Amino acid sequence: MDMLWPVELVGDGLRNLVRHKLRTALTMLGVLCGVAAVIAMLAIGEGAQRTVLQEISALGLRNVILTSVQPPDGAAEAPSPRHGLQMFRYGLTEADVNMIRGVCPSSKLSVAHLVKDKVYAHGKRVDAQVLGVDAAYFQLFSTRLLRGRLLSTLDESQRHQVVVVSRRVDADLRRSGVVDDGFIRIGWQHFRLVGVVDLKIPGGDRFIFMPYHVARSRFGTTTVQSEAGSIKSTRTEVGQVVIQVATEREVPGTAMLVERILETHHKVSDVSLSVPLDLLRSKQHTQRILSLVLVSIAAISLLVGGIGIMNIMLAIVTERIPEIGLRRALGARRRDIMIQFMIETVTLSSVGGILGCIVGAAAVPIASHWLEWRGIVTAQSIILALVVSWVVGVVFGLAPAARAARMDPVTALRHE
Amino acid sequence: MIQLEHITKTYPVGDGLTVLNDACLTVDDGEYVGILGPSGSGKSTMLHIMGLLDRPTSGRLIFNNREVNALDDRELSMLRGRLVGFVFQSFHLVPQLSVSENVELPLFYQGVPRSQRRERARKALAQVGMSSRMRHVPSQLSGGERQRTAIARALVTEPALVLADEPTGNLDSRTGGDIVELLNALHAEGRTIVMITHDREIAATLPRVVQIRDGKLEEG
Repeated sequence: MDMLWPVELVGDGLRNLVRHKLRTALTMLGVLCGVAAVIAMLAIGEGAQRTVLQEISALGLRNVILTSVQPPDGAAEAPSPRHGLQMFRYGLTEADVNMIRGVCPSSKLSVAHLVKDKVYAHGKRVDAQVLGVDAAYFQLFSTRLLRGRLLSTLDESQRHQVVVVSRRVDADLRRSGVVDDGFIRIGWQHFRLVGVVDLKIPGGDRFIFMPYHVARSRFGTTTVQSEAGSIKSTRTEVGQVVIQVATEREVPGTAMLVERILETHHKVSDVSLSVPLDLLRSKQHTQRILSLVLVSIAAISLLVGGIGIMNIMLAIVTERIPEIGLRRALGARRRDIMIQFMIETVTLSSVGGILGCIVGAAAVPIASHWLEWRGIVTAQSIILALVVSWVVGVVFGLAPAARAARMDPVTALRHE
Repeated sequence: MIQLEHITKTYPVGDGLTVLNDACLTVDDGEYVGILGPSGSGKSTMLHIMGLLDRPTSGRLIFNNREVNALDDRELSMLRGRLVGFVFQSFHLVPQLSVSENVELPLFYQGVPRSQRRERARKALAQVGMSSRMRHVPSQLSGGERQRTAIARALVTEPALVLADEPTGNLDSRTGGDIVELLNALHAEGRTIVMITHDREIAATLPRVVQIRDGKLEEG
């Protein structure tokens, strides 16, 4: 058999397709849309997956983060109304920290103090959460220093009134006219801005960090608020504790241990426990399900495209019955007829698939820009989409090709 | 060359429609045989059986001293491609292929390399006076030119037998006359030709005529 045989059949198939441009274009459109949808859906899935991975990884996959949270109304510890003064105590305590330190001796531990006073820049209120942290705190998260410097042990020991802010807070401060080395007011205290960081910690992205002991000494652990004629005092000893274990394998055990301690010593749920590794696994699982759903939807459109191809190929076979009879009369075997129609179908679906990949890959950045979704087109998704389009051609081309091959040559020749 | 021995062909229609009934015919090398008969008499069925396109219900078909009844589809296709050249009433050219490519088609299924196919198609087209139309497509040709192309396609494999099914049926009398002359010339070169016709004038010019009536063959 001539080596050029399949190449020539492809050429022949292409010519047949080119002869009916509109029909070919409309048939390809089904596969094109299906493949483009597969590419787009996979890109969205991949983008979301990476975003989740980045965001959660930034929290530190070896970290266990404990944060004091206000319990539901009336559940706070030891409310003791005396002369119109209500005292509330909730959250982590120094005793908790010591216990955790005792059961996790080899882990790194950093403590943060929550300052509840309001923040002002040139008299304007700034929306931010203020944390007193030690110098080690930043090392426990993937912190990127954008400008200036981080807090140092010298700031801690010398009680420097300095702050480092997160990127979002920096943007607000700049709008209010506070530049590097400028001052902001927290409560009645003034602090110098020494650095801007990009870091991800639980609770959002608007943070101001000051040395831990400065926060404790200047703001204390008690906040007094006047509310509806009564005075409410809340005391939180420790705002946040971050435990970093040596390996990811130790995370579940440590988290369980810490949870037990908290359950024993806290009657109400006033501490939230966040395990980024668990969060990552759960998010990844959700993401995988989401990706599967998205790809399934895309696969349905590809299936519709495939049925469209089969429909058209059956019409083409009917239209070309006399030609099939002629080719058989000229010496074509059933197999030759089968291959000829299969090549046409696969050419149709493959070209549709290639165009679908181009359209899909081009549409993803545009859609990402407009919808503010992150979409990533990977080489694997392109290969998968091409293979799928090829398979669609083979699967949906089989029935029409077999019909053509089974045709009786005499009946085919006599067909009007 | 070809022997039909007691060939019967019955189609499964109703109680069975017998189109050929105990037909016997021998065609020798270099013969030019006309098969004459009214419409529906079984002429085309006989031609299809002789051309290995159809199988008889009973009887033996011997082609080049070889019984072909028991051959499978692959072997029949191969023999058909190599030994038989068909000329049809309605030309049966592939519309998307050029004249040259249409003529090359039987060689394509024999696995002949492209360059050889081109050359052999060129020669066959020259033989029927179609050299100047090689790159045209069928829609650009007249009826006579299409039939010449079909004849070139039948000749390109240098078959042992050329089977022509009413080759002048779709042509005007003048063009039909040209085609008959062309077939006569091919016979003069030594080709074995079996031609179906219902035209008594054409049949009268043929060296041997077989009449077919109610599925039975009669010489003369």
